[in-house]
Amino acid sequence: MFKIKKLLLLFFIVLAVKTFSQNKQLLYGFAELPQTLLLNPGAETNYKFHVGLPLLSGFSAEFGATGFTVSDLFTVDNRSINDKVSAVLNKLTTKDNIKLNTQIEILNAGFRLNDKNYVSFGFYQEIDAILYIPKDPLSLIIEGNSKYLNKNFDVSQVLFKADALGVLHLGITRQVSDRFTFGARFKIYSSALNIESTNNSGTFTTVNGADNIYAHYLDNLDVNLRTSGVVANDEYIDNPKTYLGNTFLGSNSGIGIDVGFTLHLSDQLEFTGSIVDLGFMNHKKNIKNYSIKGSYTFDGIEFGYNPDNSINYWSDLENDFTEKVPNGENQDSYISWRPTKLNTSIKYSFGQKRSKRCYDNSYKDFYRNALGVQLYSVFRPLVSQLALTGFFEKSFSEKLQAKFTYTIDDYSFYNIGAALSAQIGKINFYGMIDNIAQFSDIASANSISLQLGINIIFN
Amino acid sequence: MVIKKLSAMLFCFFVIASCVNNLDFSQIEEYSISPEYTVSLTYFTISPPQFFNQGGLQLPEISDITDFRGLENSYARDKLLKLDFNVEIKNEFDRDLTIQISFLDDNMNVTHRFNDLKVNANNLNYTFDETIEVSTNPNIKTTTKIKVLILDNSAVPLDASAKTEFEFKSSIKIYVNV
Repeated sequence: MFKIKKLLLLFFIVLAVKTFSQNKQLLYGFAELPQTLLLNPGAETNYKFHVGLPLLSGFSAEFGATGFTVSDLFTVDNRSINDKVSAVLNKLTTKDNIKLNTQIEILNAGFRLNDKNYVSFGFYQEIDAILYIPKDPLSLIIEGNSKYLNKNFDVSQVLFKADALGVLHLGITRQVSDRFTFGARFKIYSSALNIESTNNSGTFTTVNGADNIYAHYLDNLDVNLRTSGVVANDEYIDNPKTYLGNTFLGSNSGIGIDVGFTLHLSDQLEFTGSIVDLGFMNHKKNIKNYSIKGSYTFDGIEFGYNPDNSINYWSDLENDFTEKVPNGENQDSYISWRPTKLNTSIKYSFGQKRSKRCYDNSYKDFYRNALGVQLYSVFRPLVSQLALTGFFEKSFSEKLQAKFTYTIDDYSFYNIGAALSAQIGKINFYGMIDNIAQFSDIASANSISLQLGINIIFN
Repeated sequence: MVIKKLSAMLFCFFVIASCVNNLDFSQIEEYSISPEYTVSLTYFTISPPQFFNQGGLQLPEISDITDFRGLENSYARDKLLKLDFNVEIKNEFDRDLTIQISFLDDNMNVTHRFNDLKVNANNLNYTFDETIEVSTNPNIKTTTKIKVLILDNSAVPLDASAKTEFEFKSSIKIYVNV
């Protein structure tokens, strides 16, 4: 029961060391951490300047899968792997997906420009990928069409997007009044890799035919695959250094912004909101796109039995198919949109009131407890993904704070998370873990994430 | 130093405190798929005039042939298990006809010849099924052509003006194991 498999361990170590999570419900608005500014540039800060430890200021990973878990496939029991895969495939829907988001902060720093304005900047690398389960195409590949007469195999279910990029950012947080803080962040994206296939359409159907036993229909097929940064001079790029190098001001670049605010509705009630990654990337170098489009009906090869006119039926078939369902490659530039995220929260603070020292040697009151609700949404190719989080924050002291969350999203209905932020001298350390309820059996969890970071904060 | 220790401790806590049920990822090596693809093959409808040449002489047999490149891909060839060949025939002719179906390779060598289909006169619901196991007929994998020959063994001349038809339909079910 409590045996930790080496492979799983390795997997999570790799994710933990290389990455930074996406739905950061624990981090959002927590403990005035510098990293909260990346989720809401309008978050309040209370220090003169900060520097994140390079490569260690923020790393985490989020892996999620709806409709199935690792244990559904790999638990040791008496069932064959084929039966398990079939069972999983049978219960999956076309909205089920697998996602991975990782980030690693290379640099994160900030300084107070004056009493009103705090400037923060940095550079991080991100991998973001989502694959919707193409149930029909998978069935066609795994089972074939024989069992599925009259079934429309829907090609539009082929839907995935993967990005690897670097993000250079500069933001400013302005305290407009005692009650209202607003912030914005400008981002320059540099894509190392983009692979996406979206907005596909078409069906494949086999039916009982009229002229022959069966007829096969390919209706309104329109499938595309766009890639950038993967192929150069007709050869796959297999040097990791090339990918890493392209994350910093490479040729496939784009821009984006984050905006956010914090509004104190009363002494105890705080309302926040942000839009993150409202932007795009223009892919124009090392492009390789593929497409196929058209409709076709095939009911076999019709013999003519004309001895005076021999026909190359197969060649005619190929030519006819190519004419009606043309396919090709191109190197056309294209734009890909970043998965824009929306965050909003309302927080009610209560309990014992205490004071903490601010950067300007003044004192600011804070409550030891807070309850609130957060809503998170990310725009994905098929539908937006939503997450609703209830949270409780506890300040044990000015330097030690904790946050507990309960999140409902596409991946789990009982995701309990915990975060801790501690400051020892000028060193701030924070750690966060999601899905604690599944900790006794991670393989049965639909999503998992871990975040750790170290900052140096100067009050 | 303190930070390093604290980081290491927390990281170890997360990793060690987390558990998984007994998993075996090597099961994936046993995973195989066995799809079955049904594909239409050749079909035709012929009438008596097609048994006569330009000089008006009746031919004892007529045949046609097509390339079939479905097994040309080495991957498909290697994973092929067996083939189910199905035929449906409607014979309105007033005579028995014999159908010879052969699979051929690029050099016109026979890779597989089906049993002759003897279709009686006016049989409107003739069916034929044959399974080809690749393990016992490995030559089938080199098939690149399909030939269908129709033999008229009747001693009675065919009426070229008759409005009868001979309808032939075929399909193949391909069994693959990956």
